[in-house]
Amino acid sequence: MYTKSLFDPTSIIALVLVLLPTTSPLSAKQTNTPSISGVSTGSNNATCINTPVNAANTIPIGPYCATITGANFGTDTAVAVGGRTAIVLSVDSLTQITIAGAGVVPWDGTAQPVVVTSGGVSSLPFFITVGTPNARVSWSAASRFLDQTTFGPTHDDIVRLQTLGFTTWLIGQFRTPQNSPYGTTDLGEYPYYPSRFFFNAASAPDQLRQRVAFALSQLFVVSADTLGTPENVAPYYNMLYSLSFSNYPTILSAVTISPAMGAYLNMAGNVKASGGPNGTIPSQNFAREVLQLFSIGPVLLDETGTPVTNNGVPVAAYSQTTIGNFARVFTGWNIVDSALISPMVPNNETHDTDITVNPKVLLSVPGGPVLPYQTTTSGDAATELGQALVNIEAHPNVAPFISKFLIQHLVTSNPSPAYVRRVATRFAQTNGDMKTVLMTILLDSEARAGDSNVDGNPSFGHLREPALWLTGLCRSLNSTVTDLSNALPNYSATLGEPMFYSPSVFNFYAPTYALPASFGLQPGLLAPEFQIQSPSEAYQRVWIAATSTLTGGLWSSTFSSPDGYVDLSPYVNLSSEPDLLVDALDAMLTHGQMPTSLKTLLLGAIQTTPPPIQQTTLAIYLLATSSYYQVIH
Amino acid sequence: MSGFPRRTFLRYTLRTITAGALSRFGAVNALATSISGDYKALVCVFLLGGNDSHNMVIPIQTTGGASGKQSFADYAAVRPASGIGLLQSQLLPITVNGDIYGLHPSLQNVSTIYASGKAAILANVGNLVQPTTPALYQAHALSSDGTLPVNLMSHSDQQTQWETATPNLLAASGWGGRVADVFAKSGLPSFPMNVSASDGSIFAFGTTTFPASIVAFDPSIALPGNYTSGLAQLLAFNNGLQMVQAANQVTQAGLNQHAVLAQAINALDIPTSQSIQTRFGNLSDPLSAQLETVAQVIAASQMLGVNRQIFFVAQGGYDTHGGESATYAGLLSTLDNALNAFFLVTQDLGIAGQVTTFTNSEFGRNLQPNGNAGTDHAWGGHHLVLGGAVNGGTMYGTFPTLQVGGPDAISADPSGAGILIPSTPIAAYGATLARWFGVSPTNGDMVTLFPTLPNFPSFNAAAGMGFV
Repeated sequence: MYTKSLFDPTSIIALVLVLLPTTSPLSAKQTNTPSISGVSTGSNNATCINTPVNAANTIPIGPYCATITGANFGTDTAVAVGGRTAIVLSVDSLTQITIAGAGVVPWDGTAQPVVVTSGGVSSLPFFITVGTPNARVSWSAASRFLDQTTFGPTHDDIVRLQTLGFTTWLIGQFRTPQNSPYGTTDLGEYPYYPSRFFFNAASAPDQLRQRVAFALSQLFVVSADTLGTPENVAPYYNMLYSLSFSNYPTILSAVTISPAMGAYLNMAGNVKASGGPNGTIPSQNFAREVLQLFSIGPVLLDETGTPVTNNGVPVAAYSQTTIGNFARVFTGWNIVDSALISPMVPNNETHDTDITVNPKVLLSVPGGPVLPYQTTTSGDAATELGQALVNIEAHPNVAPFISKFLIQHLVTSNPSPAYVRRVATRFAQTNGDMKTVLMTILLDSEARAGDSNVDGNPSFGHLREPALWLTGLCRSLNSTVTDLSNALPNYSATLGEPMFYSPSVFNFYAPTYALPASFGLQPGLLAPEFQIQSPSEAYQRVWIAATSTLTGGLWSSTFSSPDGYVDLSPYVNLSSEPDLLVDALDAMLTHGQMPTSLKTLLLGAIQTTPPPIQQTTLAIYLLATSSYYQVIH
Repeated sequence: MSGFPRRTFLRYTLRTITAGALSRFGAVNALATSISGDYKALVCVFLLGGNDSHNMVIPIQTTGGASGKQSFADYAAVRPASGIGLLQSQLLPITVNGDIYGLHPSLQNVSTIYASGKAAILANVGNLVQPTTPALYQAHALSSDGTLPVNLMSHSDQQTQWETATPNLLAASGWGGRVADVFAKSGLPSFPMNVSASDGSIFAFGTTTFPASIVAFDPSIALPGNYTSGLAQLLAFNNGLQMVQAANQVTQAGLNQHAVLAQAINALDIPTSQSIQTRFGNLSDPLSAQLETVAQVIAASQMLGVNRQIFFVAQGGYDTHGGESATYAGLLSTLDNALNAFFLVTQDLGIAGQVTTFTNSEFGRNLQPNGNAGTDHAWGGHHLVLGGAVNGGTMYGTFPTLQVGGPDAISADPSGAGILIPSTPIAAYGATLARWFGVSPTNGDMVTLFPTLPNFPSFNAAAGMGFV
């Protein structure tokens, strides 16, 4: 047995060695451990623009660049954040390196370790904060909510919503100052006004107001194809935009006496019958469409928006005689403003003033409540118009009909009957107050279920119509369009949605459009946006995505032209770690909820494309054209 | 519920292309494109908005109407020339078994084709559940009991019911699609039988078959191979979400159809392409563009490996509630030129007797004009059928009495007194076309296509109406 004693010469030497200063050559190997003193994002490194600037020692969700400061960073330094490899863009010095990485959604609000390794030696972990601690709602919930309330989620909008919570954010949007999206001094030919639509949708801060105005423009439709030019439509859109947060009666009234609507559906210049079988009758156009499309629909509905049937036959909500009587009410109005801004004015000389010989019997509900003004009581054009609108607004169909329409445009094509009822109830209680109805729609459990129970409802969601698909990609990829850009209006028109030029008063697509049986899916599944997604239009979407990522378009790696600009280098930086690239795209485009099986497919599809730029644009192209992204859910 | 029958959408491959079809040099005289002698095509031209056929076909001196005589004066009484009425001197006269009618002056080419015996007029066709009289209408107008079609005079509902030939809105397939279903029973074709040029119309969708789409088709674009192969993998992704599956199907269909169609059309020989281009050369309206593509697809049918095709095209703008005269003249002029160009192409290709073109519209319009010099929604309307196989130069069906509040009007009430009840149902119109196309009238298939046929015992499906 051999024991060391305090006087053993080897132990004395060891003791002496430990006590020697560290600059001694004998001690160099043991004391070059790298260390981290700080992490900061938003550096001014040329490859690091477009990273959101965060507080010290914080990284954002999504792609980022960061500068790590510390000591002993050799040229072989490797970095791991949260246990995943980060990309070293440059070793700037022994005390600073620049990295690229991605904050992945599961890390949001947590602390994650940063470890650098140099010369085979790892630093101690340095903890940073990821994303938004103390967030009121998760990243995924916020991102989904923004897909329902804006033209596409951006990083800053998501973080802001996480900080405020849904209700406060909505109230802020209700109070956001409005401007006129289409200036009255705007000049220019097509596609100037459509360009302005996309410019506002992609960049203006009053996103919810614009999104709601867009939905309303697809309900109370007018079109430049009849009115001649988008310039004649612009004041009407300004009007809808200003009334988006008001209430249904105010909107319906403004629409009814709008000169653009008067020209579009022929109420302008509508005159009473000239008399006799060989005379003329009043135009029935506005009378029919105001009922069929703008208020109650053609059949009776219950409070869930489901048609009432009689042995399987839908029960009509009005007859041809009713239409004729409304047509008589809507006589005697004329346009006085050639710019189509000031409302129409009444003229009793051309108005059908009869209330005794042939009373104008309006809407009633057989077996239901007695509606006000089921017969008009005044012969005066303006008074009767007011009475007719009150009669329409009191019909029990209005609440479920309008509620279901708004739900379809903001949330899902197939709301459950109970969801429609919940919203219709609040609509009816508040006489169609838009703020209340919007909050009810957006905060409902059915709209929010997917925040955590991803895709738990198989019939949930709706296809991104062309405008939403285009603006969503722009906003989520930080791609900017200018207000003179032809690209988005032309793309949208190719895809079946020519802004300002709805092909008829039934809009680009009808709320009642259902998938044909040959799809082999759930029978009766409503899919309005699919009405303009034929196979050839679907092919054009793929083509547009391919050319916009492949050859230097709005979603390519870098692009700058009169149409707009984009810099996707934060993603290109990640291409040597494809799983980080996919996670970063998931965070920004698919709410951080992409299933593992889809990630695997995406990784497999891009792995054989070596160069960093092509791999990145291929990944963006594939995700943009995937059905998982094309459907908002 | 089984998944979508993907067998319909496996990759299409072109048939072996015959040397004749591909000869680019030395085809001096006859067009080298060969189309099977057994080939037939139906082309539905839907006039969207409701065609005011009261100004399209006008009696001049006839034995029609309830009184056995109807003349231009009867028309002029209700549609004076001071309003939207046409003058007799403007009309293009045509004869119908000794009677004289007049076509709208814009239909110059159609009237020539009519005179040559290759165009026919169908009078007062419409959406009916059963033969309907004014008394029946009035007894059931407020009952919603299935006696009358639902939501009469509503654009969307009537378009759907014309396209599905089912009056109660319950059909989730079009009758054109159901024809394709019938033919698919004996084996799926190598390319969809039906081709639709119009967004969202259900006409071409069957219960199991799916049409090809040329709405936004552009044969000059082609996706690079590495971009389509990656996408193909993602289109297989299915996490149960119905909308995602629907989007997958549509995109997959687009990829398949584009590749095959573009290749076939780009392989058309030069004389054929030039003929089509020349006939349509100075026409730039959307209807002509659709028919030009239809002509190319027909010319390429042998390369696509199909000998039966049904096409759906549409012309918008017919909802003439105000300022009708000039608008309607323009619409019919466009229609006339487009139909003529298309008919000439079929003659050039030597297949005029194998292609039958026919109009549809969701309704005719009110006989009585409104105070905005326009007309409102009505019900029955007249239609045109053209083709080498048509027994043309005459009118089929029963011409209505042009009297507001008269024997054919739904009621005497001013709101409806100018709305005339159709006398020929869509079912008889369509069944005649389907029979020519090759659907058996005796084995029950015809009733699958047109469920209301049993309600019209005076129509004999085996004989058809006789116009083709």
